[in-house]
Amino acid sequence: MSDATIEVAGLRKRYGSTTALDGMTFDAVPGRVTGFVGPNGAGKSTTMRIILGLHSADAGQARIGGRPYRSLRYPLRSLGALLDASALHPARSGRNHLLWLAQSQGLGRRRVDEVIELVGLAAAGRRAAGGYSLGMRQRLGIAAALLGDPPAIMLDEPFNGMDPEGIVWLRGFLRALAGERRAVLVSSHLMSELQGMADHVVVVGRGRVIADSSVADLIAAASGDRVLVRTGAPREAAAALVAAGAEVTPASQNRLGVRAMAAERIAEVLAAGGVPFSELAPHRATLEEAYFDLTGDAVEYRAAPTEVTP
Amino acid sequence: MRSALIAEWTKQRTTPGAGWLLLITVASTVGLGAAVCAVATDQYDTVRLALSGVYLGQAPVAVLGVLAASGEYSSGLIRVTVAAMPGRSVVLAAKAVVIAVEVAVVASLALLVSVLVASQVGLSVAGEPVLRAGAGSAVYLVLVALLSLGVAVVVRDSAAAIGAVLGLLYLPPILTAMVTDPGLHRLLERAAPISGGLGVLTAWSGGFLVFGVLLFRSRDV
Repeated sequence: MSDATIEVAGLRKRYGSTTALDGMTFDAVPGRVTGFVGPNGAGKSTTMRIILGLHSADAGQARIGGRPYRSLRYPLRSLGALLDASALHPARSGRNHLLWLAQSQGLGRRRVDEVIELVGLAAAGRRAAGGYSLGMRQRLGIAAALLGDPPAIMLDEPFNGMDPEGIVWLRGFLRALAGERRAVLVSSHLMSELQGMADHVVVVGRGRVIADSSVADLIAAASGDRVLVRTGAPREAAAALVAAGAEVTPASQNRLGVRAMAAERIAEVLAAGGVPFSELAPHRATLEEAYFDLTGDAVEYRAAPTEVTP
Repeated sequence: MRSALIAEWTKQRTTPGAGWLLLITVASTVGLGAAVCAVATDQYDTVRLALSGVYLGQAPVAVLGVLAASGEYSSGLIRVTVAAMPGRSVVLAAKAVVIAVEVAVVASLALLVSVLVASQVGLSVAGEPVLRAGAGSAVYLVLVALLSLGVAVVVRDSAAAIGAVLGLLYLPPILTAMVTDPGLHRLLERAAPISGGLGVLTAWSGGFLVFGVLLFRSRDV
């Protein structure tokens, strides 16, 4: 298995008057899990369809290991993909679904047995796929993506419909695939699903990339220099800190968020002013908070802010 | 092409639908043929009577041809197919070969049984004429299956495609009976797939298949 990067360069696509992709550009490189995140309608699925040659781009190109997908003789040996787990014939068994796919790649029954075992579907393999739960269909789709033992894997919202056990399994599984130097691209509209799994995230909105960075950098950027202060005397603490030049916002009943001042200096100021405090915690943003910071302007459909009248 | 053929053949044989439709094709072809023969005498065109079951048998053949393509559109499976086999003409060619062979084998069997039934009830059906007519009828059914495949790829919807194909097959004879103008009458008869002869039907099937390939290659799936 040789390395293969999924390259997306300057993709543009319009459907009628709707611009789905507006210069989408990023790479998913070998050896890491790349999260592909954005609100619904941001262009994630369209990008994946163009990568697979299902839809044509108006401009730009997508390549797998340097080659356009449609030029690959046995494409599933280069890129395994799962777009829609329900794209099955309901009367065909899971095993037979994998069998025709394997045959289309010049592979045999032995490989079908291997992947069906790998995803934990061996017991259900002979049953009609129409009777599978969504979680089982996701597993079958992942088995299909692995058939050709490809150096690159691409999954569209694979956590949808999975039970907690399945989610834990899939996270570990995708990490292991990246550990084998495969390029793994996973889309999600929920950043929290990617926390602890993705090494790198490509955040998209309205058909283009908003952020393309490592997870660590993204969180560091969103965390800023905020320090949470727990105190029994928030009013006095706030007054003392503001007087010393900090920006203070109340975080909850007895907690303050403090910006523009390091934790050590905060402790000095409070101690000097005789203000009691019990905790100083530099705030670390979650991946989800970082995401909301980024996509605030990019969400196409959003509920109007709710006015609460007392 | 070889791997595409094997894959498409596996698809066909691993769902019960195709098998049932082929069984219905045999039953309806033989059944109608037997019923007609039972009330017929030697003074008619006996070969034609013996093979008259085709008139009914073409309907399940049409459904089979349509579902081979449009069934994948309704489930979204077409995307899995095209992702696995990006050569779209090859996919369509493989589908066409698989259903053509299937229908050829099953139609030949059904027509052979029809002829045997006809001779059992005492009609004189033997020799070269019946062989030629039987082979022609088998080819007719294969062409109907290919026409249906082509129409299904063009319209991408099972109900619409089945309606279109059955309309194309069954409506012209009814229209012909109603039209009094001799010129129009003859035109309808000559252009209709069912009465125009194998050449005309080949043009219909080929036309829709070519049109289907062109659309399938250029459209987003």
